[in-house]
Amino acid sequence: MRSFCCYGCAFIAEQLFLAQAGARDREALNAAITPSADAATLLAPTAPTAQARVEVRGMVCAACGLLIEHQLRRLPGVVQAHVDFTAQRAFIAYDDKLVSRDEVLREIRRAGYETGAAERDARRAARVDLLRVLIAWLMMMQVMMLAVPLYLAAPGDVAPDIEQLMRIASLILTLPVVLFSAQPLYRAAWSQVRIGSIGMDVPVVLGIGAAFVASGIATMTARGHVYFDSVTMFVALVLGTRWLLARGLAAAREHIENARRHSTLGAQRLVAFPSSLATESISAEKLRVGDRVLVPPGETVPADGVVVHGRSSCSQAWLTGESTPIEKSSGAPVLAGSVNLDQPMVVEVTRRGEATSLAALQRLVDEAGRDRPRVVEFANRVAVYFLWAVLAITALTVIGWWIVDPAQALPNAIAVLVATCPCALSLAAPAAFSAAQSALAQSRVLLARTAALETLAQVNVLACDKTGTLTTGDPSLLKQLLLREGDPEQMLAIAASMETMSTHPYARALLHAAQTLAMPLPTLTDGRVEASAGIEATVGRQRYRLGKIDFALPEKLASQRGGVAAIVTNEGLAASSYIVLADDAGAIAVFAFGERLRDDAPALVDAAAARGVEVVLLSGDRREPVQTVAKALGIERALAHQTPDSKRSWVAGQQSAGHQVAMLGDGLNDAPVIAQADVSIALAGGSMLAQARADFIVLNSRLSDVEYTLAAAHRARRIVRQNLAWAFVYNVVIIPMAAFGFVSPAVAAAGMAASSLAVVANALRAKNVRTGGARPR
Amino acid sequence: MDSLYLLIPLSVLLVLAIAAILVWAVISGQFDRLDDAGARALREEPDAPEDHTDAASRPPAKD
Repeated sequence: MRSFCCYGCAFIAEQLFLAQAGARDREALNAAITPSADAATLLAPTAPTAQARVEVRGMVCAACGLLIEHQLRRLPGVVQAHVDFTAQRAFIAYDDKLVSRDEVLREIRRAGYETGAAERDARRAARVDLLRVLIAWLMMMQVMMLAVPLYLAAPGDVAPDIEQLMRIASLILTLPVVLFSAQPLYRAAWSQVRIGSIGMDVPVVLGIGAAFVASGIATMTARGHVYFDSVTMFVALVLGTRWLLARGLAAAREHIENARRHSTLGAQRLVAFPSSLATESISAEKLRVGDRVLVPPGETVPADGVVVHGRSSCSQAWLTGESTPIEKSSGAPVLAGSVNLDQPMVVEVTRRGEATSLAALQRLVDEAGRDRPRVVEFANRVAVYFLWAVLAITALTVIGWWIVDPAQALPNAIAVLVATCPCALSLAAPAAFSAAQSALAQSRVLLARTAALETLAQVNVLACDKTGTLTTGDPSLLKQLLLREGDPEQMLAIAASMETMSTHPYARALLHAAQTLAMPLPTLTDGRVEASAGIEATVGRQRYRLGKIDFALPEKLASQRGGVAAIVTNEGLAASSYIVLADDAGAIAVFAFGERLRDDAPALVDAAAARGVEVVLLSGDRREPVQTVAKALGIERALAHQTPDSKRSWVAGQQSAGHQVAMLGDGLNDAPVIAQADVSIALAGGSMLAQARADFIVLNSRLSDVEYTLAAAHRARRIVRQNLAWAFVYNVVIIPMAAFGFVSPAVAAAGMAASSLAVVANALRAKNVRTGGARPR
Repeated sequence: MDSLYLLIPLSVLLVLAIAAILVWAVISGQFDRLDDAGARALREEPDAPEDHTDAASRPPAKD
């Protein structure tokens, strides 16, 4: 029987085992989770009357979240239960007539997890944790003060009774460390023993215990060596490292959680639509089918629906990855999560909440998250062998010396236990990771899961989204074609001046391009905007039309349309969208738009290649723009027309071919892939942070920060390996020496201390991450 | 050397006293918000614990 990292994984495995294999698994799981139809009708009046947000502690992986959800949904009265593993929170909607909040909390605790019922408890727990670390460090310094003179003194320099006094003082100072500071270690070790999955904490506790007991006996009998300095230093280092790690994770979680809390999707419901345009602001969750909502330009469509009034274009880039805005006029369906770009629209809601495409994406994410139970960390697996090896050697030492010289058996056995350094092993990974994490935090990269750093270093395929990831999400002016003699700058100035009347992304792109012009924008008069078509205005004495080709060249100039279109095609601009500037005599200029590569995209692709990571482009966009970007960056594999689901299955295919895949995206429309991938990075600054779900969240949305993250992960891995190698060599040398009685107690203590210090000092180097290019400040 | 008989116990007492002050400082929340202590004067509301219980009764967020 194999062991699992936590109750959650054991539960999932059990469920999967019971359901045998294949597609029946999920059905079986669902059947187990959702109440049967009869139960549903019995409890028909059950509507959530109350909600609770509970902090859950002790979750190890996403499977734990599933276990809790499963337990909660079995409670009568619980309507909805959702556990967010990243935020370490559970959201429960329940009927407070059928079940109380306390019962809900008790159910979570029964599943084996702790609940932080109120923030005050969590704050208190955080204070106690900090206190444990501080006490350990304070006492360590004092015990060192007492220990160092004894190391330095020549034999006979210190009177025996002074030495005894110093031992007693050390014992008193060590007691708070062993009894109070180290408590979390005992608890962790005990729970590992109880569920039969030995982790690093068990050898650690064994080492502390052996050294402390041996020192205590030595103090009582006033004979032998004391290891109080080793004990306190070890506890201080272990706790300090873990505290730094935990604080980093907590800060990242809080950041994400705050963003989520403040970004409930809002909707503007039209109260009495045809007769008045009065709206009320409500949360999108409260919308009902048939409601009509006003979606102003720049706002997100709150629910799936049909346009009933207005004409505009929408960007569905977040949902499908398609970069070109899509025209929406009366009768056209719009998807929740798409962004209205230029004109206000009225949308009638056809699906809401659970049924919307946004929610469907969310569900895909959850499923993919559940398919990914994490393997137990490497160090923990090593710990098991290490523990048994040490115990076996200790036993052999006792037996061997018992035969040779019984008086030496106990001291030598203790020397083996003490000299053996679980510290190097237990500090190797966490110390390096926490240093890397703090380096990442300084360049505003949030790390949601520590293990992700380890995984990122093993990745050999980096799947990238295109729109908004490798390219800047907004269109920009790629090319200006003059169809007639004239000053290109003046034409751009006229066009930009006209576009000041519009909020369309192309208008923003033109205005942005016009910022570099030396001349001021000409004033215009008598402007008129035709929705989703173009703009008409008088500049000087000339009447201009700017917009789609059919608008710029109306009926009487229709004969020119074919010619302009041919020129545009000849220029190889078929893939990009363009607008035409024309006057009464005909077309003057063509402005072509497209996505522009981010400046730091080529550097990222090169840096990834240098680390043996292949960059693959997965885009929902059409073939031509995808190919253009791939060619510009030298990416060999580029897949167009991908849906979130096909991306996910592509990633799954790569994984079954033995690759480790990292996904780089905006954290939202790639959500199912992000959950499927081994590790994920999201470029999500500002408002997008709220929706982003990924292991790493790059707040500055810079690709150079992605490169930096990659470099940090590789560096951390290299340092962890060095540390493990050091720990291995140290133990291989010291254990036989201790077993054969060659290690004097002072050497054992010094060796243990030096080994811990070396590991921590080496780990701190993980902070100095260097990337190929210069780091932008 | 004789002074050590007094000084070592004294040093232990001193450390324990420092530890006691540390306990008080941490438990009374002196180290809770180190990052934005400078902004404390600008916050209007006292550092009340945020309510966690009634997500339902909170008015819908709106930008």
